[in-house]
Amino acid sequence: MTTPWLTTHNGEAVAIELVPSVSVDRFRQALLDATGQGDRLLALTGWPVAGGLRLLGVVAVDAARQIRLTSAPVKDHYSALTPELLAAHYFERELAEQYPVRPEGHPWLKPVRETERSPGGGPALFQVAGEEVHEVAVGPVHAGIIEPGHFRFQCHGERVLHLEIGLGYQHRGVEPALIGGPTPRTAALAETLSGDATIGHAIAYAQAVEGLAHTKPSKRAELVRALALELERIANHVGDLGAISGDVGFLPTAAYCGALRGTFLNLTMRLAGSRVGRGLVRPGGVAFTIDDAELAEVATAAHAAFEETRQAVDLLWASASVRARLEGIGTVDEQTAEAIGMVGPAARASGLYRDCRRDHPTGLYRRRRPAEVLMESGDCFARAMTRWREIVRSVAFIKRVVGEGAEGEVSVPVGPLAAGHLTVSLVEGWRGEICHLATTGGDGRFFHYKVVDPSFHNWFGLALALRDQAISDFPVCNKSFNLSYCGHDL
Amino acid sequence: MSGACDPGGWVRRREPAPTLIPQDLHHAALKLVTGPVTAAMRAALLATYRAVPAPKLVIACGACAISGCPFAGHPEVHDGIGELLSVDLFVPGCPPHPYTLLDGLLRLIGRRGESRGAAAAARQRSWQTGVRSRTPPTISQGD
Repeated sequence: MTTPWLTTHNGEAVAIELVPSVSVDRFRQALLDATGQGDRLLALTGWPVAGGLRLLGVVAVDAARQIRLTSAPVKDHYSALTPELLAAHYFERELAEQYPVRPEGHPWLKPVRETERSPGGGPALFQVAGEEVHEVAVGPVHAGIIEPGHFRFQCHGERVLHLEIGLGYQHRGVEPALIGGPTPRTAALAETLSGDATIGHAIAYAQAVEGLAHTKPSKRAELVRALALELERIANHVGDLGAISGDVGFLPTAAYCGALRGTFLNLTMRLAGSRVGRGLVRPGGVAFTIDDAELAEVATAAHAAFEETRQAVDLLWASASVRARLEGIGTVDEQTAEAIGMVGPAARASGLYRDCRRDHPTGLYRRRRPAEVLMESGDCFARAMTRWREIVRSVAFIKRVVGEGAEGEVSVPVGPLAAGHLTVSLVEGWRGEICHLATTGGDGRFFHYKVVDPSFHNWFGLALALRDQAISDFPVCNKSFNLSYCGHDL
Repeated sequence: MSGACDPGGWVRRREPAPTLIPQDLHHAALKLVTGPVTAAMRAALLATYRAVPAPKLVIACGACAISGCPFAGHPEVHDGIGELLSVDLFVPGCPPHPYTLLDGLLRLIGRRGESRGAAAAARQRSWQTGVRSRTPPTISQGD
């Protein structure tokens, strides 16, 4: 019996016709067997074909640095994977929302992007019944500078039994707009997938295009990309440590880190002319020539700002009242994190080491990467401490790689894309694994483009973290994850 | 936006920083809209606008709020908040630099540059009488 899998690697293009098309039963079994052996579901998607949908399953074999693909034709229904594979639950809900296909046996096909204000009244929200149970509704407009989303706390007194999350308020149709690309416009669209992860998404997009065009950026471009990606990670982690401090009422660190985040963003501005790095990463390399002296200055400035950050963050760890508000709050254990397919610092805080920089490295990360950070307790404290340790590692990494330097053209021309090919592009953004799955048609243009932001995997983790917590713990739990609304809503 | 609350690191210099973001909608004087106004957010946007007592100002902050920018023409979004509300200030940028926002706010209230004077007085009057100009005030790019 032939294998149902096609093996590929991060950023490598493969012909679509080589992806095995098996029966849906075999497709299911292949995914269940693979995930049973420890492989990880990266994406479950599909595109319309004559007479239904071609389902595509993508798993990552982290230990072997491989990505495996399989596919199956379905008409209008198939037997859902979710009852046996929890990590598929969100993907199957998305599939049922996007296409006229029904995963039979899925416990609850609530649409992922349809809001309560959608035509027809929107989806039914999960509710806990009982005379003493009450509901607290928050959003979509919040009392703070955050994105829109709706939260329903199912409470018994102060205790949260379940947090029901309603997203989709930022749904702006990015995926369909990417179809027909690549164009200069699609590169800009990729940067807006999640504004605070501009660099991460831009690299994922560029890698996909470069893979399909069989182009390789220079080592110099790889260096600038890695530097920008780590600066993005540091700036967001610093900002979030400040926000976590604010949410537990510890104002010194909140104020310092709020300002220091700006210092790190300004370093990205020195590279790109934009505080979030818009316009820096483009297929073929990076858009700007940045000389060695400037890179060294950025690395030095990052180190200086890091020393200030250390003083601000040390206040946090030294305060017993802060630790009391973080320890044991919003715990997601390793088993749960693994079952629902969590990624990024949130997974690493739960003892699950998942990091594309190690497992599926591209660019500079093939040669160098920051030291690993792994915590075990899975609570708000672990997520905050993971962020801090990642800042420490990233600053050291920046210093090292900029010191080593790299030569080459900042940008190389990108040829036409291979027709009828597919590529999976993974980048470890600051929130975790960013996955872009690009497919070209016979004309060498995208005919299907799937984006999986790390938030897509992790939002359900936040819902589980809130179970049996006090409702007042929500802000700090939320900030410890700091998930993207627009990255989820697309 | 949070950057605009402390663009110069006032907090670190331990000087008083201006408070720009009102906490309570019912005490708010302006509505600052960022990002594309999606179809899903339309009702919430209008409801929060109604909740703010007059006189009130509307600011379109960033390219998406101004025109829908890369999403313009998508059925899922409105092409800028100008379709739904009368806008008093347009702050350009993707995203706007905090100084750009601060500069725009200061000019809008007549505390900076050429806005101090006849133009600002006229804007002040039109604000008080509820008659607004749809012409965006001139905004420098900050630095």
